[in-house]
Amino acid sequence: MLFSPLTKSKLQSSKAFLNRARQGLLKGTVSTPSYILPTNLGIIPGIMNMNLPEISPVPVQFSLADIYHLREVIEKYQSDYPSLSSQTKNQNEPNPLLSYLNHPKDTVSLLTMSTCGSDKILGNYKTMEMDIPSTIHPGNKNRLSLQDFSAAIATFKPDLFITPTHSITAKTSKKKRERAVKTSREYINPSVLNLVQDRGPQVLMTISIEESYPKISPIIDEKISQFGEKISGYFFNTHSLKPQTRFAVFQKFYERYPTDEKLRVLESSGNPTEVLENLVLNGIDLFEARYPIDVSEKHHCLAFDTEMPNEWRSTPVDTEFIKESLSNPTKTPRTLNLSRSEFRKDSTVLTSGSKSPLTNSITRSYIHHLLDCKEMNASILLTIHNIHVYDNFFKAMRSHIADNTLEIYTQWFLQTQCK
Amino acid sequence: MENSPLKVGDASAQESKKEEVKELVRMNISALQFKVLKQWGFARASLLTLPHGDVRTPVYMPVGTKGAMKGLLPKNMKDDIDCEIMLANTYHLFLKPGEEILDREGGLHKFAAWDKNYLTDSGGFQIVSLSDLNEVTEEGVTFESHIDKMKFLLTPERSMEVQNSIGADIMMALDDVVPPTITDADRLEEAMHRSVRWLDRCILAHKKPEVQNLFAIVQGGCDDDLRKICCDEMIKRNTPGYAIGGLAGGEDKEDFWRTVHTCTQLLPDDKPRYVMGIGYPVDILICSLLGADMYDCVYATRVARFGTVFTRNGEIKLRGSSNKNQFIPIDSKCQCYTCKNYTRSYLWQSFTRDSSCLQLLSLHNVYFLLDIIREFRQAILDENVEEYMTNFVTDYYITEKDGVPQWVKNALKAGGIDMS
Repeated sequence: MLFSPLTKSKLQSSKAFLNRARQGLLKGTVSTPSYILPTNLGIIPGIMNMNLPEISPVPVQFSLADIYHLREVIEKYQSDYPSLSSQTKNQNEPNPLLSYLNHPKDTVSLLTMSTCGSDKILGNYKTMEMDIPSTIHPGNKNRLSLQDFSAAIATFKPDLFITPTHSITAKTSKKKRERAVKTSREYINPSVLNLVQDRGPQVLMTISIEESYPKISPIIDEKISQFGEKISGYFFNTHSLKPQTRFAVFQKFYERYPTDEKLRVLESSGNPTEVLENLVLNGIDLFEARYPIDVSEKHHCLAFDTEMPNEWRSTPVDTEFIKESLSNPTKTPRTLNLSRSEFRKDSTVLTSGSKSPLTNSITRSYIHHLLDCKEMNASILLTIHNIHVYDNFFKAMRSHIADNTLEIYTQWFLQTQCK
Repeated sequence: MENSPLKVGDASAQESKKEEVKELVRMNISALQFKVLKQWGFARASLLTLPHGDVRTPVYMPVGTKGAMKGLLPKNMKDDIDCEIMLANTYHLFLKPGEEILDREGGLHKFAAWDKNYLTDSGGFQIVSLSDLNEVTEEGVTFESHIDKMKFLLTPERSMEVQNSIGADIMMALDDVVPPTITDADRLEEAMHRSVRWLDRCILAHKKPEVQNLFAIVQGGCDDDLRKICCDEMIKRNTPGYAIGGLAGGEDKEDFWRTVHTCTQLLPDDKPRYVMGIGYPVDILICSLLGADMYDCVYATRVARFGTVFTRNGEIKLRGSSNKNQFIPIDSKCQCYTCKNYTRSYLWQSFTRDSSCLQLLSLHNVYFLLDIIREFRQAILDENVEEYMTNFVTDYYITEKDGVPQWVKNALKAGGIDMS
């Protein structure tokens, strides 16, 4: 199994508050809960891989629009591969895409249909063609058919791929929603599922808003009952819903499928309060997370601690506060905008939270200077710092799940690390 | 830079200052040690010990203009490239973040988290090249900031003050910079003599000779006589090291290497010799063969950002479509992170998609220059300089229609290698 839950999450309870968080292991290397950063050709934007060695293993997300053009070169690379094997660090049939992009062979790769950025995949449900806006030549579209989609999976051999769907939000029109459902239904069919292999591509079935809100639609029943064993998990496309609505969706889902332990992936921004909400209340294992990158692009550094002081362990847990704060978030995790003039003379080390050897002797004043000069090292250092803090945040959550102290950790984080 | 100039017009004051300079020269305060380990012809393999560690020479010094290498972090420079010294620009650091911040932070080393060596230039070259308006008088250089058009006066004394605040291990005297292609012989000579007078003012104004080394800059264009006069005068000042300035400004290559050779023959053997603004692989090796020890140039990182990279068979432009299916590294012998982990094909793909590619190319180019200069150094120690240089230039120009250029052959011959 690609994914193994290490603890069984309690999906239903008669109590008013239920902590659904659980630990798991993905491909034997990635401990969950974990996060997936956006990438350009498998690279975190602007960061050389060598500058993030201390990060826990995390899955790598590839968007089809970003790498579709690589099909031809990957096929050629693969045909040349026997002569190149001495140049790689990999052994035992490495994945050609991962090898070409210089990822370790045990990297978990996830192929999505979304792009790294604001572009979304649009579709034509009548022809089942997906228009992918070219990221190099905007306006020049590449039409992909279901066959192209399938061929891309066969070439790239991701560990996981997400079935495509339209991008819809809570405000999308009814007509577009219906079209999205139809497309979504078409793309989870036998020809796609034939791509699923025992030690190869596994599928995550998209649960979109339309299919899950305001109620779980029969389409989900149909898909799960028809293809159940071939589905490795779910991609919940519920980002645009309010927390209470999202909670209601998951509540209904788990009522319908109380013993389903498959992998649960969430479309999300990765904001820590949103992560805690969906980890604790909704039982999510993997989070799409643009958050550390987005914060850096705004010239902010993450300024919250991730290690809860020991004395908090004896603090009584206030489940009402936790549920209320997660359901109606009013605060955001602490960050600092280092482009502000107040940091020009601030000699404080970036923060002690990251513990990255690359940034733990960098001052706020220096980052301010680099931002002021528009030097690219500012964004590099900020991104590295932010990813380290973010990674520590997830490490802390996993540790507290194991110790059965996630609730008090959540309480501590919301009460002391948000503003 | 608000000015605090010395009054230069008073004869008795000038005489008094000359005596002060002589006294400082006699004291021979230096914050470096330079030991020639082995010599082959004019080339030297040496060890330069500075306040922030040893530097193996000959050496190429990458340029971190505003206190940072573009796209490369201090850890990359130290651990992945094994860089022992890099450059920072006084002009840019004066404008941003400014002396106040640098003094407050304890100097550039702490500010930029770089614990190896720095060299700062005087600011003079940037003023001439970047500022729209600059006027040179005996007092100094008046210029407009390229950022906000504010007017400043840079004098030798102010240059020393700013460089003392930056805290680099080596600092450069303010010189009167003129291009080597200048046809006004009077102006060229004036600049040379003024550079000597400014050196005296720098020596007097320099507040930290025990921890920062002031290098003199020899000027004189491509005129051997002027260069000789300048070398003589600067040697009398007994600075810890000497630079050969005023080259790499469009002059003929024959004039270039000949001028370097003239200067290295005149400058003391027991002090480092720094040729300023040199960054082409062959130029660095030629200058080393002729007895120079240190080099700097932005070329390596600047061209990397446009997709041009160094190989042992010349430069290649990675953006060319011929690289699309090239599953080989940039250079087969290079051991940098980029060449060990990425193919030309991947770099071609990612060049227009992510800035990390520019970092990878910069890393390669800087590593390449440091690598070949270390190979050359090892060739001195192993006494096989002739074989190394012959093979290198033959390979480097292998794709050129006419092969090794004549100026290279002439320079090699002057250095003791006959490729005719």
